[in-house]
Amino acid sequence: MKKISNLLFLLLLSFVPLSGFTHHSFVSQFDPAKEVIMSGMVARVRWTNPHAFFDVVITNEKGEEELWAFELGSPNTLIRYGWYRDTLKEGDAITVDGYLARSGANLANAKIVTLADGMVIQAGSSYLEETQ
Amino acid sequence: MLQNKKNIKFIASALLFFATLCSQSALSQNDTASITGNLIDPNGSVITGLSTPVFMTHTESGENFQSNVSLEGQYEISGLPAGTYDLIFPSSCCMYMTYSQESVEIPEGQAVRLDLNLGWHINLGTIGDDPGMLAEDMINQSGDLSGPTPRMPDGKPDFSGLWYNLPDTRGFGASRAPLQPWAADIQEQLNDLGQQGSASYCLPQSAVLSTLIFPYKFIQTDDLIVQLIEFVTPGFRQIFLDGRSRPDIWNPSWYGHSVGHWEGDTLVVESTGFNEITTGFGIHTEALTITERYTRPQNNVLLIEITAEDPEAYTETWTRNYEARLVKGQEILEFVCAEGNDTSLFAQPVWRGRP
Repeated sequence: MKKISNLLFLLLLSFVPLSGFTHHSFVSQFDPAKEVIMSGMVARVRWTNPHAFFDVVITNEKGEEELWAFELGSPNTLIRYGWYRDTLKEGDAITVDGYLARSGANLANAKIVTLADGMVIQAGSSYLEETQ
Repeated sequence: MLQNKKNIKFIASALLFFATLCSQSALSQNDTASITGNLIDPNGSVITGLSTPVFMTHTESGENFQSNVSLEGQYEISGLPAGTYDLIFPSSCCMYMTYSQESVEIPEGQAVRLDLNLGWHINLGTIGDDPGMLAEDMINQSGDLSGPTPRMPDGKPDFSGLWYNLPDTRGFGASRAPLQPWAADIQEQLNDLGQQGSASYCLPQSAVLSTLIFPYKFIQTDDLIVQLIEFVTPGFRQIFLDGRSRPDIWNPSWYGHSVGHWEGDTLVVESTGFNEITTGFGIHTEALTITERYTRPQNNVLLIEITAEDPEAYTETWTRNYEARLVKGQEILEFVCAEGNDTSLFAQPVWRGRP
């Protein structure tokens, strides 16, 4: 329960745009010069149009927990590649590779997701073959 | 064809071996060079699933060559004359940038290896955000659906089915609207505004749904065709085949009013009544008329010719061609774009079709 309380606290305090996002070109929102690789625990999956998100709790260099949001494409496309709303579950340990938001928010796009069992999900049809 | 290539390679090898034995000098062989390589994404992974060819132009002669691309991400062109080449791998929106390289040296008789390292296009490699690649994947997964043209009971072609346009990497639709100066000036002003496209506002993305890369479905009856489409608001249009004309009172709209008739096996759809801010046809006026001509030469192939006319905004008629493929095992899914759309984050809150 303590863990959940911490998460709620983080959700409330975070600058992560938890409810609003735009159906946009990613390059307008994310900076390809700022690639990040982060590891943490899935806190929530937001299976929404026009884009889906998942939130990850990450421990920073100071040992503090931060909540980060990672943006995906649309649910319709994800489904066709075999990624469903329960592909990532709360508590899953994952590593995400993406580009930071230009806004400075705790937000990045998700271009490579590595699951605890070593499975790698990335853009393109290779993911389709691996997951079907 | 493959066997022929093997034979040619074998004969060439034998000749080369013989000549080397006789003269200890290299045999001057024409058209025996080749190039091969992988398509690599910025993550360092081989890009699989694309069927777009690699195009090469021989600098000296201007002769054009194109590769086969295996779905495993390898391209190959053989039978090349020695020389320098301009190479291009055109990529559709939105995953990868088009790759081009000038002055690729192909020495006589040699097998050149060149991996093509593609950069990210506007989606920056985001998982699940490339309609072009998805279209290719869905088409490839459907397997061979060739066969005779399906027909309605009255003998007319039946366009029913779920279709994906081939990605726009072969020159389809590549041209721009032939704008009169006043319209070009407005287009320039719009470009300078740097506004996101209409899709960012969950607004329609083309006055004609069949120009888009999203899956669409035709439902055909004798007097009506309904086109459903995913990812686009409001997701449908109607083409009336019952001989009606546009109502006298008509509010100009994003998709206009469409009526169709048959010319042999060609369905001709004429649309009018567009508003001035509908998209996909450049700056135009309410005088815009669009004619779509559909044929289904075989079961899995849909050919589309789209001609737009606007004497008040264009300098000439504007024709584009598209090809679609039938897809099996998929349905149109719901896409409620406005669900989480909040343009206030970084874009103008109101779509401005005109400056």
